[in-house]
Amino acid sequence: MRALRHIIVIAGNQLRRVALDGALIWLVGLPILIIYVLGITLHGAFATDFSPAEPMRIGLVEHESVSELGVGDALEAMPQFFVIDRYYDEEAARQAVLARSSRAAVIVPPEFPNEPATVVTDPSSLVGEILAGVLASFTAEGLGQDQAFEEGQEANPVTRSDIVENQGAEDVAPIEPGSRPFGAGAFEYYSIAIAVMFAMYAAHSVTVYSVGDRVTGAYVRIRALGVTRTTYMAAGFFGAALTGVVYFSLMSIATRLLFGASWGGLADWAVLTVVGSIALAAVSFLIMAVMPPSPKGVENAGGALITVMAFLGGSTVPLPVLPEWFRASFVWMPNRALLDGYLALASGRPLGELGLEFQVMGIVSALLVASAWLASSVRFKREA
Amino acid sequence: MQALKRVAIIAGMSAFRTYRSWSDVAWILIIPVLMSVIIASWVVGGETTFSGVRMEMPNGRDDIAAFQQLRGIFGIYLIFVLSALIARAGSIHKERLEGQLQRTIGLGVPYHQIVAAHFASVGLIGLIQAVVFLSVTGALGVSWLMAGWWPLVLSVVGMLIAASGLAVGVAGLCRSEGQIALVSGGGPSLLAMLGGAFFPLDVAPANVQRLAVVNPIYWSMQAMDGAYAYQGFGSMATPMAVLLLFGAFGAVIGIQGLRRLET
Repeated sequence: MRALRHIIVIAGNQLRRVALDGALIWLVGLPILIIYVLGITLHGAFATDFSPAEPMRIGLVEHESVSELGVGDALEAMPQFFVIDRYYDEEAARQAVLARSSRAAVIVPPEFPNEPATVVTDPSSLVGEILAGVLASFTAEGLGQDQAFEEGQEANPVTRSDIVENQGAEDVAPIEPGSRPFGAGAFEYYSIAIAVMFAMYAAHSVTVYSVGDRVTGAYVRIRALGVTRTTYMAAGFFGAALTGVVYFSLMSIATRLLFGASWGGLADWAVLTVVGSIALAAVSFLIMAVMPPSPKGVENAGGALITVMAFLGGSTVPLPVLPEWFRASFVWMPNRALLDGYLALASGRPLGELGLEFQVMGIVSALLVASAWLASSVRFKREA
Repeated sequence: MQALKRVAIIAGMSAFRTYRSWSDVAWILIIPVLMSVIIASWVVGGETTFSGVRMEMPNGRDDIAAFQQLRGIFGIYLIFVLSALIARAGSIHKERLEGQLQRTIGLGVPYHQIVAAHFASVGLIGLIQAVVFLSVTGALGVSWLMAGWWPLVLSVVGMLIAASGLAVGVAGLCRSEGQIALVSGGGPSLLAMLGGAFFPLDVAPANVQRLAVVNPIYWSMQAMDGAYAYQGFGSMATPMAVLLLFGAFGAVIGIQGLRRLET
């Protein structure tokens, strides 16, 4: 009972120190600014009805013999995306792109679709991907003739009449880059993702304070007052987890009010938050255990690890735009599991469906805490 | 000559102290390289192709995947160069708090030489970071030289000048290490996202796109795009000029701001 009281008092004190150490600016103000900027910037990309801020000027070189395919008509049917300049000279269209007076040039050869069309554009812009998507819908694969493609174009070439018969210009569905199943809006996604990242920093601050106590002599004084090493370590871990819970509470309220972000039902959210905060605290706990007892060193190591974890865990680059193999490679990370869990709750899934996320957080937390305990027991054996 | 020697020694020692510290090396070199390796594997692994479509860059090159990989890694580099240089520029405040600055002045070194040395050390640290980063990532397979040496050198030097100037500017405006840590931690990532380093600015609202013209990372990416995808030197001229202006503007602000420390 006495140990429990010690843990609560020390953890509460750690939380207070984080709160008084400029947390309002760097743990709340900065992430809200980041969420706002990313939300505004990527709002269009996350929306199902994406269209660019202004139509993009493109050049089209369409050979007369393929005009019946309707590539130009399909592009002209997307006035919110493109303003089209028609060229008869391929070189003139290319020069316009090179001089940046045109965003892209689409060159449709007479043999299209048996010969590929060419899109000339800056690869860093979105226009190339949209145009390629439109053009691809005119090819055999785009028409669902996969088998013909597999058997070889020579054996069963796609003819223009096939195309016209199967897909007139009026039937060409406009490409909607934002129609990918993101599951959440930009503001909602980043409210959760950035909160998960900064919760790791918040929890780590407590760990840094715990290490700092060893350097300043506060730890020795606390031990002299009858607090055991186990109690002190447990208090540090509990303090980090508590800071995570308080931080998520604050951020969920702030982002709900400011950006209308949904974090799911209160009861489900509370369970996930507690389990997730313990998992995030476990990461810092292990760093503290394996690093030399220097606050600066622990802070830097934690900062570096959290930066990488946040990147791999979808807090900076949105998960849906990452390749499938890349996403699948990091589902074992606790911050990723927590992000997945919150996104699932935000999309209306019940807590019961988050078995995988809870398993990941549970197993990883147990492994990290056990490793940390073992490492610190070996290191501080002489203390006992 | 004596002054120049003094500035060189102070700047050299400052750069030496930085690269002697493991935590600084981790932030300035190891993490950016690690992130670059991840980005590189992601871009190559996630390359999307469309059937029946051939993609080509404005200058006629078609090695799109290599360029996209290079561009993503350059974006990572820009974040870390800005972050590292701003953090290093802030060390003058630490030196002041610890009394090192006052002791140096007490030994007869004029204050303007200390500021000049500080500026030079920031540039030197950035230069070492650039050489190591580009060499390591190049050895790991990034095609930095796909357009030759000069486009790469100019793109990097342009950003180094802008970043050094801005770093000194931030050091002149901020009064404490804590404020600088905040700026160096969050600022560069935000600038990179708003500057089109990781996703096309086409997805952003018109006002955000317009705002990019006051973003050094945007101009640095423009220089890179101009060098590799457009007409080389011709397309780099405007971005390079803007980056030089950023550097000069930051340096002026910084030198004015750091003057106040003297009094």
